[in-house]
Amino acid sequence: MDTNFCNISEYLTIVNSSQLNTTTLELILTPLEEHEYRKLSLQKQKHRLLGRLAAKQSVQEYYARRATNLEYQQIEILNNNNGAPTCVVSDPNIPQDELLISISHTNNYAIAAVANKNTSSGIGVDIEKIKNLEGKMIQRFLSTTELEIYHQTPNNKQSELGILYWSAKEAYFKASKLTRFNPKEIDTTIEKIDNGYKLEIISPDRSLIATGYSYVTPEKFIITTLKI
Amino acid sequence: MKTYDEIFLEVQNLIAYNLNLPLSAVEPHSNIGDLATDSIKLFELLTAFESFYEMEFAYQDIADVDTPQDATHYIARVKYNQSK
Repeated sequence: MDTNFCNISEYLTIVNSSQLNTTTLELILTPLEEHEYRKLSLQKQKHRLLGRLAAKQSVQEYYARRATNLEYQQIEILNNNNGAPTCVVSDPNIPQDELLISISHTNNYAIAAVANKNTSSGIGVDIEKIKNLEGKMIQRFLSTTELEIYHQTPNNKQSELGILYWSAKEAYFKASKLTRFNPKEIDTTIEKIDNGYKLEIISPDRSLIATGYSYVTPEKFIITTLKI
Repeated sequence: MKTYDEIFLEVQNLIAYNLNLPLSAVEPHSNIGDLATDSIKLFELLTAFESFYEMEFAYQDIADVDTPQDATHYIARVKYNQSK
């Protein structure tokens, strides 16, 4: 996969599974992270390792631009009770708990992004392979307005649009930190821009609650980043 | 009226079939989110449940359905009006 689009966001990182060949689990994960990793199924272990690698590279990049170089072992990313990743950095010069972090994975890829808590109250990322979604599923997660737009879209563009909507709502769910979420209750507006799509998430009372971008890669993955 | 055990067997089979897993991988206390490889697969499983049982899982309840046992309790209560 062409990874040039990693630069769409200052601290967005994408990794693929081939990068795991150049490092080892013991280098990437802290003992506590490894303890959590060992509890997972083999499939989930692969996703977890890729996701943690992407997340740690994002954190490294964030602090490298602030003249602090970190090793993977200084960055610990654990899931909280809601399953959301949280980041602790072991460096006396770095304030604790200042970063928001979001991770997503699919097939052999993982992406992660970080942001300072002072600049946004939530971030969400998502990566999805474009594929056909069943009609029942489409009806179950699209709002009335989105469904109308979906049905007005030519058949050969519906797969991409369906996954765009899904990815936007998935990223919003992560950014919002909600534990209960009805995807039909939010509207997503999608505007085509030069190299992707600009997204706006609208609440049931018609307020703008999040903004972001989606990009379609040549390999037909959709990558979404969203900020609240 | 289906028994709790009959519903559990259906739930177990639906999960195994839709997530392409052996039946033995789907235990009463398995975490369904951990069994699915991604969120789309998980949502497809939800719609498969809804088609099979001809019912809709309320979004506010889904967060409480973590395991095949939870799903069985939910279906028994909402679809068949049983409590356990």
